[in-house]
Amino acid sequence: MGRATLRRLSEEGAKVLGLDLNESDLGESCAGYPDAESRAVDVRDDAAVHAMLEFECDSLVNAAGILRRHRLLEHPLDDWQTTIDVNMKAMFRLSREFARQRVEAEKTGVIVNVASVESFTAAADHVAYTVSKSGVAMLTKAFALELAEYGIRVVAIAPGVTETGMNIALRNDPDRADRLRAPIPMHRFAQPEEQAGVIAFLASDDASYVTGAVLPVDGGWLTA
Amino acid sequence: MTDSQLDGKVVVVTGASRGIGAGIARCCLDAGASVLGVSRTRIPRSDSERRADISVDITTQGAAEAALAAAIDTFGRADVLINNAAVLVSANCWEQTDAQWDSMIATNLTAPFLLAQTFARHWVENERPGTILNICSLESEIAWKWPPQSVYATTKGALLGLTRAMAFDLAEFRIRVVAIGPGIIETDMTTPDRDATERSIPFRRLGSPADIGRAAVYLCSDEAAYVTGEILYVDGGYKLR
Repeated sequence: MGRATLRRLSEEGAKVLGLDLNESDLGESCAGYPDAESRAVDVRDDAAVHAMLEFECDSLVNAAGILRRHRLLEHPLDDWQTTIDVNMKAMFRLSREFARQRVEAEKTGVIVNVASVESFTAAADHVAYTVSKSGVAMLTKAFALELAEYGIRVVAIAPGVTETGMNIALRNDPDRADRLRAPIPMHRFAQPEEQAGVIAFLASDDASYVTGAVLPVDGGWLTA
Repeated sequence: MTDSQLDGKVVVVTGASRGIGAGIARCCLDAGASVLGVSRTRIPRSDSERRADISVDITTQGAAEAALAAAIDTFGRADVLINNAAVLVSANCWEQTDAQWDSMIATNLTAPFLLAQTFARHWVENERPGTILNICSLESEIAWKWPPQSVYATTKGALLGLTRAMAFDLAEFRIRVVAIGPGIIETDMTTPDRDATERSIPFRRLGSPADIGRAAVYLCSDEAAYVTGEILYVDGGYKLR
């Protein structure tokens, strides 16, 4: 989703800085987009914050996330902690520093967070992910409430199942893929570009009255 | 509520020494349960043989096992876990520190997860049913204006997610996981501008710890046998605004 967003926003004329753990994946993302910049960093680290602050962005898209599946009763604490740290704490730290930079400079801005349908529902063996995405939804609303008076909008998308690296193994198993696809009203998974399109809208002036919203992009998943 | 809704049940409540936790413990006791209170500070001994308290910091390693062991040692069993203990440190969202984040996550989210996992494992290994009640907040779904508390809200949103995820994964074992979202409750920890606050609540009064305690008794009793993965807001209509 982050890759698709970097490309879509570049195509819309934005100057984009992409952050990711993996340098070669970043290179692929930026291929064909000569104006896009990139830095290989762990979003949990101060290096990510510094890279963002140096770039002086007016929009921050928090798309980095991980999913570690475990049977609940055997769920190890380290994967719980890592999921909280990557999916929530990193987002909190980047959002905090972005907000501080914009508020101190008396400038407006936008934060778009990637939440999930699991901000509202559950899925088997996903406890840390579900917990983190439910936290992201409230992080979005709380930051939105506080920052509205400073002209900073904070919104989220709640993607349904999207074809990314997070679920390659599952999608390559025809039985599991069919079972996952079946309850989706649109009977298909999303393409990352479909999430990027909504992120681009939410980051744009067309969404100037949208803040605190957590918008499902889920092929109808939450309707039933 | 009858005085026997929780007869024979052993209930473990964290943060039981004051406020909402004390109200929950009191109501469970009145409903016939035996209650083990877990808090960082030990409270004066109760005159009921069905009440015991231990002093444990739930964020320390081994705390979950210690709480379960104390319930079994004292009362022979554990049927209900109520994750009530929480901390709140408020600051502007651009000023909340990493240390505040770590502290609130540890107490409000990770400790409830570890306690719930420990109790659930015990129930599954012994083929017993059980109930977990997470005390969430209005801020599990709506943000709070003043004082600003974005990190606290994040932990309460996440705790609601924990309720749903654990309810889903534990349903096959007959373990229910539910939540209460208290509204503005009068305790010695909160000092609201009473008149202004009461005007903001459709019921025009603050809630009491007993309001939450009575809801807890229902949700933890067999009366609620078909309720799981759900949050009950007890807020005098606050969320309607």
